[in-house]
Amino acid sequence: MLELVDVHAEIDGTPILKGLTLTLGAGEVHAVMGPNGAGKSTLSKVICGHPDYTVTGGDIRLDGESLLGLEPEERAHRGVFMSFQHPVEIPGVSTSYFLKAALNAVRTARGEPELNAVDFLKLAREKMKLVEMPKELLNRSLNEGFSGGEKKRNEIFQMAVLEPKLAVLDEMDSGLDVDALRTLAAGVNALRAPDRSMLVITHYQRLLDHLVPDFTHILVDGRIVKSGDATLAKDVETRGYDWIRKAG
Amino acid sequence: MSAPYQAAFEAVADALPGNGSWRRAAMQGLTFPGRRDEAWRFTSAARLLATEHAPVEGSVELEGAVPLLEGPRDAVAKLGRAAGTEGFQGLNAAFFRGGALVHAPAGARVGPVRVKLGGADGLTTPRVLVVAEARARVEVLVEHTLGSGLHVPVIEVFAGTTASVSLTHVVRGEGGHAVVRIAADLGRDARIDVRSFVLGGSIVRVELTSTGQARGALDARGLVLGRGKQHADHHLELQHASPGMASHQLFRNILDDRARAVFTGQVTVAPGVTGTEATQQANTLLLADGASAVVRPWLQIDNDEVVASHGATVGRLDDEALFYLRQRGLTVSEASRLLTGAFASEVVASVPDAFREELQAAVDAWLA
Ligand SMILES: Nc1ncnc2c1ncn2[C@@H]1O[C@H](COP(=O)(O)OP(=O)(O)OP(=O)(O)O)[C@@H](O)[C@H]1O
Ligand SMILES: [Mg+2]
Repeated sequence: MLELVDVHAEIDGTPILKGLTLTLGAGEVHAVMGPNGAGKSTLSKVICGHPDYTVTGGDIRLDGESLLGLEPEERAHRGVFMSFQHPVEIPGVSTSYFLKAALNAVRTARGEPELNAVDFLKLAREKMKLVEMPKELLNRSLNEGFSGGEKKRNEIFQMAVLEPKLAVLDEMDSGLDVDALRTLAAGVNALRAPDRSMLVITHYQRLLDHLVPDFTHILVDGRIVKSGDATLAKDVETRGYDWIRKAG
Repeated sequence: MSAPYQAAFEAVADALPGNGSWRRAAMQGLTFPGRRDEAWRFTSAARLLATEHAPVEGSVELEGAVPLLEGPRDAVAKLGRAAGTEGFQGLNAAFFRGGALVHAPAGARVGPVRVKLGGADGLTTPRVLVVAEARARVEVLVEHTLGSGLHVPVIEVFAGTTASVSLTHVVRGEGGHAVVRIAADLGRDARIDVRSFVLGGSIVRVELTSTGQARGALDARGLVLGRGKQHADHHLELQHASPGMASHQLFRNILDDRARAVFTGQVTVAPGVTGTEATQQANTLLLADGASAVVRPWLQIDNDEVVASHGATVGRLDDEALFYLRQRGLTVSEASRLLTGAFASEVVASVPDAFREELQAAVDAWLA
């Protein structure tokens, strides 16, 4: 489904990803862990086509097709979704208005008819239940004044509405209380599907207790230095990253 | 060389309605701002005067207002009490032929009232007088559609004790020049809201002055949408002349191409006047490299007993916000339109219900 082949990427001339290779099969959940500044958010943004980053080598393919020449919205139309580590606050843009526009853009790209306001609201209500998102948030400006946890809830809510093929979840657990963590992890679990892959970036085993990955990778200094199964995350939790760095 | 418009005045003076001596005095005292006038530093009065336009009667369409000189005598007597005769206002005082009166007797609710003033290819000088007696509430929309000439309207707004007036003010037009004077007079505990939209015209200056009695409050918001080589100047001179007066200013400029906006928000708190509050915010969104804005806060406060705050920003669309929206599937142009509309939304949202939809539609049409 998603193939990253020897990806090199830089920002403002500084190389951040230095030959990153990773393959996600359809329906798989992969966890990525790594120390601060290793390049995890960079990886997410590069997959989504953030204009600040330049890919200087390698390839990123979704279903065999390179994403590299595509604009961020074209990638979204092909089913790429990213939950932001730091969701942006956008005053004056209502969450529901924006999400309806986004959903209809994605539906049009998939060859599906647009949803009208009534059908959209119905769908939105249903998906809000999945992540226990308070209804009021839908009428507020996008993320404006949302608490850290509400922002993350809103990200997973949007994922549920947009039904992406590939979801990159960049620290969806940061800033969440224990109950919210359980709820959102359960929401994401419910979205696991045979034709949907997920790349789950986290610092903590805690998330992976709920959202058990098929594979775990350790990203250090712009490369995947170790891959394993779900138990690798437990090793990181107890031992940190030094032993991997040394072994690598 | 004789002063501008002098000969034109002599030719029509006898045919103009109303008080001839007032007109003549205005004409005799007529002087225009020069290059050194700070208030006109960024808008060229010379360009507005470069062509002497023939005085003509522009169109006046009224819904819920009466023709200016047909109103009750007491109300009409307020003409010229809030506005003066300096500069371009003097041109209006000398040449005005008619306009609109909106009069709300004590305790009455009047509105929504619509006054539509058309420009022409000459000099148009309509006058609007809004008089809300004690406790009255008035909602009025004054809309100017500029022609290719010079449009110099004067709008005087009187809010009596505890009265409230909401004036929504819109300037549209392909080209044309305008200098609009809005003069607000606040009674005790009165409130005046001004919502000023400059959506067209090639050189447009909107001047807002206010003064008043104890605890009078002015809330002024404005939006400029400029493209091409449009030039829009909001010039505010607000006097906190009495204790407890308040003024709030929120202005947004959205500028594309080589458009330019000027904002001056002068607040003067007289010495010894206590307990007043002044806030001011002026934000500009530049959509192109050639667009520019000048913002001057000009809070002149010789007084410790005032709560004042101001903030000015000039910026572009936020790249991270654009990326966020694009990541979710919106194209660059959809995302830009959404963010630009959001920038305007706080001003549009403050328009009374009766007029909000048409202004929202105008903003949407501009963005499309
Ligand atoms: N404009 C820039 N110029 C140079 N270096 C940058 C720039 N922006 C980010 N970086 C660097 O890129 C590196 C990778 O950052 P990234 O956000 O991908 O890390 P991360 O693995 O997500 O870290 P965290 O766990 O703290 O979220 C960091 O060292 C960061 O300082
Ligand atoms: Mg990160």
